[in-house]
Amino acid sequence: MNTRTRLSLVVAAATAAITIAVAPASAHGHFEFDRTSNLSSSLVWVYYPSSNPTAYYSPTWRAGSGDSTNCSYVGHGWLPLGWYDVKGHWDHYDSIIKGLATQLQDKACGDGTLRTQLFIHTKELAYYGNSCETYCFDSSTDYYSNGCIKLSHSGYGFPDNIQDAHWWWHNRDGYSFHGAATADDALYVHS
Amino acid sequence: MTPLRGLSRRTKAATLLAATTLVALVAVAVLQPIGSAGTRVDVHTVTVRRATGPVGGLFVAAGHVEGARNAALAGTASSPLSGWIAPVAVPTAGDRQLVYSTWRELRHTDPGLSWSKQGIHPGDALGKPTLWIHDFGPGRDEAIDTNSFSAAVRSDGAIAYVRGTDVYRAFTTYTGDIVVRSAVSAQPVVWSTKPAEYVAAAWAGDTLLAYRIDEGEQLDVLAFDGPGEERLLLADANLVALSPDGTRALLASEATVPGSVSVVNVADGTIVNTLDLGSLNQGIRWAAYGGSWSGDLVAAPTNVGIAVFEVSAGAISLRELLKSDPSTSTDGFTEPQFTSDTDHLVARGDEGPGGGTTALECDLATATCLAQERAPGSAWLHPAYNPSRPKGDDS
Repeated sequence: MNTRTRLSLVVAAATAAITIAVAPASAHGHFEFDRTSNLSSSLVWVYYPSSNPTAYYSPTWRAGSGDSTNCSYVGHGWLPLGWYDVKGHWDHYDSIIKGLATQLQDKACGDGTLRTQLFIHTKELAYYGNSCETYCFDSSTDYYSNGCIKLSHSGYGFPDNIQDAHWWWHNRDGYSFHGAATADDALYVHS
Repeated sequence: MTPLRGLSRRTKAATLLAATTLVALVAVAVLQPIGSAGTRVDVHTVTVRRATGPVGGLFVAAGHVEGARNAALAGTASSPLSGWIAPVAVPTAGDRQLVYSTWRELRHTDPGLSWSKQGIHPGDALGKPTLWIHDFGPGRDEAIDTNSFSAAVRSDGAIAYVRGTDVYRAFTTYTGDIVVRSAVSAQPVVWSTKPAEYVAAAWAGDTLLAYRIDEGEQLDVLAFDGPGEERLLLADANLVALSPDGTRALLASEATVPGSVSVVNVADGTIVNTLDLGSLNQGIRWAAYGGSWSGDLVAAPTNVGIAVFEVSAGAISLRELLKSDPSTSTDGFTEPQFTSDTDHLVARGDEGPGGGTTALECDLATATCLAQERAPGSAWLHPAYNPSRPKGDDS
């Protein structure tokens, strides 16, 4: 991300700053996922730059989750509601999931079914390149997932929202670690 | 409209039932002949009516067997680690016994809160599955194995399942081995080559099909021909159903959106036929696990309802589509299983958020499903069925 882009994001955040009368969940910021549809939900980074309970928000990114609204449908349903701890964050993850990847704790749906192996990620190669069809974000249907939160990646007309979200995670009261480590209350999923 | 909140449970149930009945009266099955992939497809919107008596099929809920048999189990049949990727309860040949999974919380958790907020640390023990067998004759339950779940039951009584390497722990991937017992009393033999997040799915003859749950909940369908003889049948796929003789599998690929369904020879993994779901122009993006294959027909759960595919004559075609009616309380059909013929099936109806589950018995010709009356908020229900083939029923 270049300096101009970062500056514009900071300006956007300052413009979007909203005062709310609740205490922050933790000293760190967190993602909030507004679960409204499989293809077009939204993700935002919420942080508290001072000790007073004033929340600041990043720009909101379009995000997807699942390909069914039945939470208990393992491999299909969108991810469960509630607060999540993060169990790892990688810049160049290189397995089935590649590139920027943030792994979430397991979470139970209403009937007790556990959703596991959940990430915030996109479709890209480990070093952010593209290799269609599996590792490029070239269609709105790429917002579908097996349950993970999916953000867009650049190269085929979509904004590089995974990089933007990554920047806010590291630079606005987020976390500096890479690899397997926990971040408490780092994601809140609501509807 | 009267808000449901504030009404008593009985009143809520009556209100929901009245609404469902009203919808049933006004809903009309819509027949849409369409031309796609060179075939004619009957597309119906399902009408759901209240059943006047018990529906067909076998179901488990809240520690009981319901439907074709009634019995009390040692615990609630439940498999949080696999959902309904594989059936929670599996009848043996002749329906004499029932193999099922239970789950014991080792620590109560609030799913609305993060683990850290509840003082749960990495490695803390949270839960433990147990695999049981219930004998309908004496009405007795016996634990087959602890820290085990997801049974595939072969016609000769051999049972394959997943035996965990440890209990389910926070921030730790639950891994286990695929093990096989030639009989309940026999010693388990490890078939998998290394621990992974497996789910035993079904026997295809003497070959065991299982899932490996990978990153992002990608499901890979594996075939095990014996101890240490593991091969990938299809990556990023769901096992919809096995052919009656167990030689072929209908697998649903999720590698693209929309996905596809393929008939695959289990013995060597060759793909016999493939149907791209997008070519049907029915809004079907995916087909899923928990289907049923009888004769040349396969009933498959999809994102729009139950699809009935014909898998004969060297091709796969869509014969019928039973669409969920979004105006009814039942917004999803899962685990559709043909009953004694291909004109009827039983399934589980999943209600919307905050709702529960319903046992359904559906007539494909009239696109009508009878729903077992259940009080709102009652226990989660699962069909009990055996996806392994051949069935070997002696009944």
